[in-house]
Amino acid sequence: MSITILALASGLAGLGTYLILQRLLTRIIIGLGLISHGANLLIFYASASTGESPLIGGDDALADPLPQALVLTAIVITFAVTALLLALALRSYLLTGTDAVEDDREDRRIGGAE
Amino acid sequence: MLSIILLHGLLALGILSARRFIGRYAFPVAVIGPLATIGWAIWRAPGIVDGTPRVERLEWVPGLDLSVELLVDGYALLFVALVGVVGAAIFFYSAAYFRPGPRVPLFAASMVAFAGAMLGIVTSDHLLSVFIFWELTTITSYLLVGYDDRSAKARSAALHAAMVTGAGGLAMLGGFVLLADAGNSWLISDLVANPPGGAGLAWLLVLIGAASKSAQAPLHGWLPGAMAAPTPASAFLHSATMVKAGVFLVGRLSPAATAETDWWWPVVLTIGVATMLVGGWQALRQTDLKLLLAYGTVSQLGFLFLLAGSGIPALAYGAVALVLAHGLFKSALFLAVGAIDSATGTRDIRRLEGVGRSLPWVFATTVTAAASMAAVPATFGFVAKEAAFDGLVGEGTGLVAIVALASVLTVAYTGRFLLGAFGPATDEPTGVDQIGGWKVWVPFGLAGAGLVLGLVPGLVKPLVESAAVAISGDAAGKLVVWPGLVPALGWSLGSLAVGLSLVAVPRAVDAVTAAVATVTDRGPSTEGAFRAGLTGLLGGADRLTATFQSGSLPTYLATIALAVVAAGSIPLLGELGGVELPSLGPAIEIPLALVVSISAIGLLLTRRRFAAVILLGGVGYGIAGIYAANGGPDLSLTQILVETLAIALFALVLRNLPADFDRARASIGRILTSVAVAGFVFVAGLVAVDSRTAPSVAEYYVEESLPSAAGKNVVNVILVDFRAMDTLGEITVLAVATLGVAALVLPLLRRKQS
Repeated sequence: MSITILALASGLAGLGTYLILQRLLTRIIIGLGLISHGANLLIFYASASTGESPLIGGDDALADPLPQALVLTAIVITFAVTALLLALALRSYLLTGTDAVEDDREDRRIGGAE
Repeated sequence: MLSIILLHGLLALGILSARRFIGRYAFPVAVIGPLATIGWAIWRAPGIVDGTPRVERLEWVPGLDLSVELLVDGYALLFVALVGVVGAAIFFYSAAYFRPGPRVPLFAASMVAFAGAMLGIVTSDHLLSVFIFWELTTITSYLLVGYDDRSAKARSAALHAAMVTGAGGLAMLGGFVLLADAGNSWLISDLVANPPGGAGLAWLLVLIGAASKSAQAPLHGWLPGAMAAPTPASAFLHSATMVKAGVFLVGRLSPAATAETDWWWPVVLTIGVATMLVGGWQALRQTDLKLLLAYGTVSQLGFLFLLAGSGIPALAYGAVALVLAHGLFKSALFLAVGAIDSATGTRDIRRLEGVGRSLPWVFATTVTAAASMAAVPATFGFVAKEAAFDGLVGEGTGLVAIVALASVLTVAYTGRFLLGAFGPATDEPTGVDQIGGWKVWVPFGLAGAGLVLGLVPGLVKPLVESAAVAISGDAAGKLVVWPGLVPALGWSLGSLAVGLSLVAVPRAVDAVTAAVATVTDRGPSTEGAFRAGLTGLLGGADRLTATFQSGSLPTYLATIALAVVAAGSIPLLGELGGVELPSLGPAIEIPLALVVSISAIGLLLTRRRFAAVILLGGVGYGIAGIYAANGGPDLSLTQILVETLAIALFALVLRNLPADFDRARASIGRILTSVAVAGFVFVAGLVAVDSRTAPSVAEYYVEESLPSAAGKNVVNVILVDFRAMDTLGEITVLAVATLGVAALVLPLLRRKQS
């Protein structure tokens, strides 16, 4: 497995973090997507297995199929989460006119800031 | 013994559950516990005193090596007897003391639960059950001190007591765990027989716990505050029994502790002497009879702590005798003060007058018990103190002199107590109502017992001796009515004489204590220190909450991200040593990685929503290519499909939103957090890839894919066959998400259209 993949995984996690630390839900969703990509690549990289596609029949060594199955599941779940968040962002925009996440006033009250 | 302890628990629960209709029978029911204790003690005493401890063992969780181990030797039996006798007396007294009311059954239940817990402390051989019973007494003490829950003072005193003794208990638990680890046994009997070496911290923590429970300076501040409890509770918990738990424990452990550490005895000596002098001095300044007794108790506890914690047989003998003497005279005095309080409505020595004339039996009780406290000959207090002095004389003149000084203070505050209770009033005197019944006769009986034992100490001699033998292996002392002309007698009569001369000049004593107080009161008081600590703690918690509970989602997420990075980095960085940088991959990866990186950076910079969607697509398709280049065709296909679907979804949603993002300011904190996360992922990957310790389970899947599942695509076989239930879960997530999306969006879209 190459350093390129690890570098990509780490870069995507960092950029995604930067995006989710903002207030617009759209940006947060995109950031979450980037972090998920980064995590998938990290799992893929950590399997440390190189080889042919895991299809029975060839003579060569096969790549480890287990991380691939994990990542495949993660891709699909991420899609479900993204869809739900997009629906939330849309609802937030349609109801309030913005998709920005405001401060939680109840939390601020508990914290004593208000 | 176990059944007796359980009986106490059942009685407490029974009284609680019947509290609506038990009324005035709460105490008559509760007294069954102490009476059963006394019965058990009498039944078992002959065997135990002869040197055969009663051992009871109940397997609890055999797999974890947890069991209830009770061991009643002479030392434990002495405390059992004390808890039973004083407990029974106090329950009879309480029945007369309290007017029936809705909260009285709660008091009775707490008291009987406390008595059971106290029995548990003194009879448990397993350190963990000692701790559990120990904390049970803290909790019941909290409930009893805060019994008058409408008084802010009582609530705060209860909190003070619970916090100090509770914190001490936690320190002790830490000490117990270290001790059990070092000695490879949870049983006190094992640890005392074979003291573990190199467990200095453990001994220190246990000592802190014992000192906090026994109100040793500088942690003694909670005990005078605990006088907010009703008088029977003060007499039982805060003088006769609970505060002796610390003394009990150091008495048990000190032979082992002094054998294994060289600092134990000097430290215990310092603590004990400081407590004796501080308590005696403060008692001389009090005007409330009960507070005077409380500070007197602090002083006596210091003495007991010093004797019991010495690990010296002769002193241990004195400690055992004094525990008994103190339990009898102090509970009698507290109960007598309760009687005076209920006859006159005050405990203020400036207002009490004529109590002795109106209540001659209370007067007789108080004088007898006070004589025992001041160690006047012919009382059991004298006999016990003589035994203690006898042991101290062998330990050097300096030590005896300090203890004699404390004894002078004891005599002086005893005189102040008697003059205050029965002498002329300096302020407007109160009237005295007649009282009778248990309220008078129970303290009379306790004080009388002290007198009888003072004249015939042989009655308890076997008990005291077997207790001393149980902890120190030797009965190195004697209980005698008159010791003959020995140095110890000189010390004890000398301090009595000096103390009495101080009593003769009360005005001079008051002037001196007041003058010294103007200096000492400027320093920090224990109560003030506790308040300041509590305020600091709560204020700190407030500031911490205000910092983290800002209500801002980005702050929360950044906190989580940084916490993960910080917690994860510690083990990761240790592993980084032998890691090699991996090689560059196949050439095709470079352009793909460029596509992904450029798209991702573009995502950061763009302000147009649609551009963001396209760039996100670029990232996804690029990654699909990387999967394909590394032997993951299924991943690649799925990624492409999902990415396409996601882009369509984004496009559908963003159609309804403004075309541009609002301008967001870059912030240093955000950049640093992101860099930290990126670095963390990079290091985690480097370490993870090197950390395989076992072959991949995938080998099994590859072997079995064709024969068992008749599939050649191993990834697919894993998903739909080997791990099909996982995939079912995944599909469920999809279905739930779909329902969620529909529920969130469809009603709004419909409303928008109509």
